[in-house]
Amino acid sequence: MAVVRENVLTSAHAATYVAGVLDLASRPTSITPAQLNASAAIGSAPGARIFGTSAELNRPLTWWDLFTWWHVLAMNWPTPGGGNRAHSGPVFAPWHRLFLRRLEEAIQAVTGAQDFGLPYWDWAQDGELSEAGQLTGAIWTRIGPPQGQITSGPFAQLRIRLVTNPVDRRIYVVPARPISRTAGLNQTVRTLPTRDDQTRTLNDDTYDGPNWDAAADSFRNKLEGWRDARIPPRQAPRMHNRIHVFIGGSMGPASSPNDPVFFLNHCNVDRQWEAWLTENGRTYLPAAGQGPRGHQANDPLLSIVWPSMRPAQVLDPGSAALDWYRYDSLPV
Amino acid sequence: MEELDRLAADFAARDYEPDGAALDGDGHGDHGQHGHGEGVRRFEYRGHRVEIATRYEVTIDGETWDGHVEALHDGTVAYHGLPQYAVPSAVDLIRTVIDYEEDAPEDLRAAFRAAQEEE
Repeated sequence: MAVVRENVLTSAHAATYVAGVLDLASRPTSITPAQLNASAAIGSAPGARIFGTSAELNRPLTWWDLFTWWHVLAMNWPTPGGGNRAHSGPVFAPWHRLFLRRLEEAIQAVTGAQDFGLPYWDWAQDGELSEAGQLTGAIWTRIGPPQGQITSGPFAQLRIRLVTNPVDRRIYVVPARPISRTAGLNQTVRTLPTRDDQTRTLNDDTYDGPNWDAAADSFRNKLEGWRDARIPPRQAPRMHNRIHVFIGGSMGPASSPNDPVFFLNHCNVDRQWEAWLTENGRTYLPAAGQGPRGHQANDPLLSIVWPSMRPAQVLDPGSAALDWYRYDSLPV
Repeated sequence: MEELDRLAADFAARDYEPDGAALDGDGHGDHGQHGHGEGVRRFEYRGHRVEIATRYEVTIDGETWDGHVEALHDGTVAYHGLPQYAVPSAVDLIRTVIDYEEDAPEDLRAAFRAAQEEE
């Protein structure tokens, strides 16, 4: 049954999201970092090894930790010509679509709410608020405070253990700790993207194109939030990237799925992609045999635990074939 | 919940091998990585194939810093450790890296050190 994804500010599923996240973050798997490190497959994978004290390495990961590690693994797995198996190239949108769907299914499983749909944060709407208003808006009642260690609000009890250190790019398993945020404190990014930014992105009718990277003049690259080739250089991060930098703290490094706002952000990004697909047709570039490997329509999406899929298979989440979800509204 | 447990057991039975790592015709998962600090920008212009190789060698307090700094086509630089940034220069990038180091909570830095000491 395809579920409906709704705005987190008004959705009845917002409470289920909180309950599901807290459940997954306290539910141990049968998998320890030491076991992953001992695996031949992980031992040869770039940036996959988890560092920590022996005590932490032998403590089981939670399901929430596994999602974080999956994201780190994909981000640390480079693709020829730049980018990686989840970012800085065409695969950005389909890889995250699969990633979010697996979390949605996991929350359905642990809460028993089979009609649960991930909520999205319509941050372009909040981007119309004043700079001060963006730090006091309704979103913070849904995700907890914008700054400091998050020990109050809906996710006060959330504790995380896998943290990427941006200095050495390693992922560490550490004693359980709260997430943190620094919203509004970054001098380069003090505000959210606006509706104009969103419109500008949606108006690009080319999904992606050469050089298929962080400088491409394309919808995907505008959505991901790298350089916009049509406006002057020296830009601050935009769209998706801007949300990560604006929130800061745990949302900064590759372990950013630690913060539940990661999924609210990416659900909105996926909603924007869905709006583009609805307007421009359910197409994807590069086709098989074109563009960089790891980003082509029939290249597998890097997955752990769950089976992989291919970009061409995830272009219509409401189709009879997938029967995953639809959105209550799409941006125009 | 039984479904999640079964998935975890299957993942363990596969020796935790990621699915979809290998690309068709590659067979072993193409890591496709240049050396640390190296990058090559390739493009075609008016019928000519161009390659621009860039190499950054960074030291901080005299110690080699081996993060992979990548020059993008427009000359800005990016780094996997700070995945949402493309900044005007390597100087801006390293300043941001140092900011992260200096601003990290002390207990987190202690946890990193404890892990490094056990290696």
